[in-house]
Amino acid sequence: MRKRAKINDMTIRVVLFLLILTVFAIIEPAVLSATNVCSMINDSIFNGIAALGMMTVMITGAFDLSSMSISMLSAFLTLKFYNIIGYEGDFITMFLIAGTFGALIAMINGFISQKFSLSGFVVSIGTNLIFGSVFFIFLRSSYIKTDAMPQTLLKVRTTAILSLQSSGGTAANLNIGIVVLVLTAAALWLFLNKTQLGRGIYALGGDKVAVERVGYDPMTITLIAYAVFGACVAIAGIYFYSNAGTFEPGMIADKGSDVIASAIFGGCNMKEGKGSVGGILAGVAIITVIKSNLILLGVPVYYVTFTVGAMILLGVLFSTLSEQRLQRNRGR
Amino acid sequence: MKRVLGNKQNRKTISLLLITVVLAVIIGSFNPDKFFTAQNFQSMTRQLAEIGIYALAMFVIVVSGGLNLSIVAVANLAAICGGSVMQGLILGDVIVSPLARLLVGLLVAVVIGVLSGVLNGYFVAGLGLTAVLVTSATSQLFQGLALVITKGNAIVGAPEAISALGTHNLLGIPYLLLLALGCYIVAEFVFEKTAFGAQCRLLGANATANQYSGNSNYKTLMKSYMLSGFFSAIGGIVSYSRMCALRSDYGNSLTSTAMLVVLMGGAWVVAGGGKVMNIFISLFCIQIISSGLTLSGTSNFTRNTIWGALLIAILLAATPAIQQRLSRLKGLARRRAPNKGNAA
Repeated sequence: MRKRAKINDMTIRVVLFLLILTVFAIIEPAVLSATNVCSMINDSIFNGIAALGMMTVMITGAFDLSSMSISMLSAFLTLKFYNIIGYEGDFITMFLIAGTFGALIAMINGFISQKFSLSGFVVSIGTNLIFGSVFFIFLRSSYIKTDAMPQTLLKVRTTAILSLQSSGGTAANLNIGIVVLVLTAAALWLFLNKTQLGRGIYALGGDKVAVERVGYDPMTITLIAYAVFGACVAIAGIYFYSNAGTFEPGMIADKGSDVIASAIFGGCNMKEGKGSVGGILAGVAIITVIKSNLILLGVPVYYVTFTVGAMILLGVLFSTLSEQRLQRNRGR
Repeated sequence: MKRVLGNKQNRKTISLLLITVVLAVIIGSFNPDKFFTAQNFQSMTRQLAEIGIYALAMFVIVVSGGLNLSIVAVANLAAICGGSVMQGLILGDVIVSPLARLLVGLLVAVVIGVLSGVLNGYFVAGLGLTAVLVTSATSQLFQGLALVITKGNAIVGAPEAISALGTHNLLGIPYLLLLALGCYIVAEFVFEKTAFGAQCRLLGANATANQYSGNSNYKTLMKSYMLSGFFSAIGGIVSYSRMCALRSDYGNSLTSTAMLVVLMGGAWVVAGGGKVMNIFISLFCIQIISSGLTLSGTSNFTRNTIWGALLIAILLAATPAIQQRLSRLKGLARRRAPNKGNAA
């Protein structure tokens, strides 16, 4: 019975995704062209990895506002680290180093909130301000130019795992970042569902007292959840800045609202410690389809924020109401 | 006198007052000829009024256990709609007289503020979603709507009454400070004297208890979001009167300052706690630090770091673990003091 309910929650999101895609494709057939599909998938990489991290914290019943500062700071530290040792970087160590930095930084949040039993959200408001600025106080400039970036990292933008030459002569490239997203999602799914610690993270969001009685250490679980969160956000951050080719602290700030929106669409609920990898991926897919296609559909630029906001709220309204109806039917 | 000092809530108010005065003296002594002037006082209190009203809009929600990230977006939207009516950009043909435009504009701003509260309230209370997520989504909606109305440009200019509100004084006290004071008196009345205020506190402390004592959580939350929207709209008009211009993305950083003020006032530390009076005093405290930083010309990075560190420090200082350690220190000091007296 439980299994069936899960399928139903998921089905609502997939149906919503297909519905939006179909409507868009009817209005403008170019939405489904190879170029656009590839660019949509490329757009979803950053959002997807960051939202998966966000979900891990939300499962424990907390919420973290500092995701974008952690992302920015760990990308900055990684770039500086490469500069200092004079290495041009490569695709594997960059994710590993950024991930480690991110995990360590995010664990500060987890430690403070768990040790002093404070709300993780309120702590993150403060650490968000600190992480976003403390390293730049003593630096002359917070900006890294394209020449000063580790040069191998810049190849992230052009490296494709699949390249299609369409009839019009435009190439459709599927960026290498999608591999990172798929690997992260797979690893996180295995961790959350198949390991004891992963089940502990779910349990912590469900009932804090019960977790302790069963024999888990709440501190360990919180720290691990925050470390996973930090690592994911940092990986997304280093990918974003390598892709952009320059570094500037503010560039990433307005990406945060998309990540939160994906988490909302993905069915994350801090109150009950709900959230799943599949749900998040569906949420990311919906947000990306809406956000990347509005310009193609001919919506003026200054309507985009409003349209995205309205669609998020309508989508949430729709999926919450249908979920509630499902639950009521089950109750009967 | 002893009763006043003995009350724990009053002690907090008095210590906040002391901190504020000490801060003012320390920061003022760095720059005495700039800091202790009537002009600085007036510009400080004008800024303070703006942050103060946003803090109030935040406080209303924090008391009932939520959080409102959409206050600045609502404020901008309300000010843009109201301001467009005042300047005759909307309904300019129907309402001709300047006074009527002003009044209708104010009404429009307030109505939009309250309606935005209804939307937030419906999603939080009606659908049972988390306040942070909902308000960050509606914030995008309201900011987007403001962007649609202004088409991404700024609307410059304000009617005389509005610009006078932002620049003139009454007997040396800026009108804006009086307006903020009025808002705080209203809030003080609502949260200390009415049943609604008590319900909000109960809801914040224990939602189940509120439901079982015969109050509807839905109605309480809805009302508090409407009140928050109302204060946001007033905050928007205050911003408008200070800038005499309307932008959709004005003052985004004010949200975290408002949260800092509310936190310092003690609303987050105890569920359903926090006194309006304390928030009003901590407002001065924050504004003095902020002005001090501006006068000494620090960068945005330093300022943000200080805000963040302050926020964490206030949070930690209120936790039981640290409180115990503090009181033990106090106990040591007290035990030592009489010994010294004997020796002398």
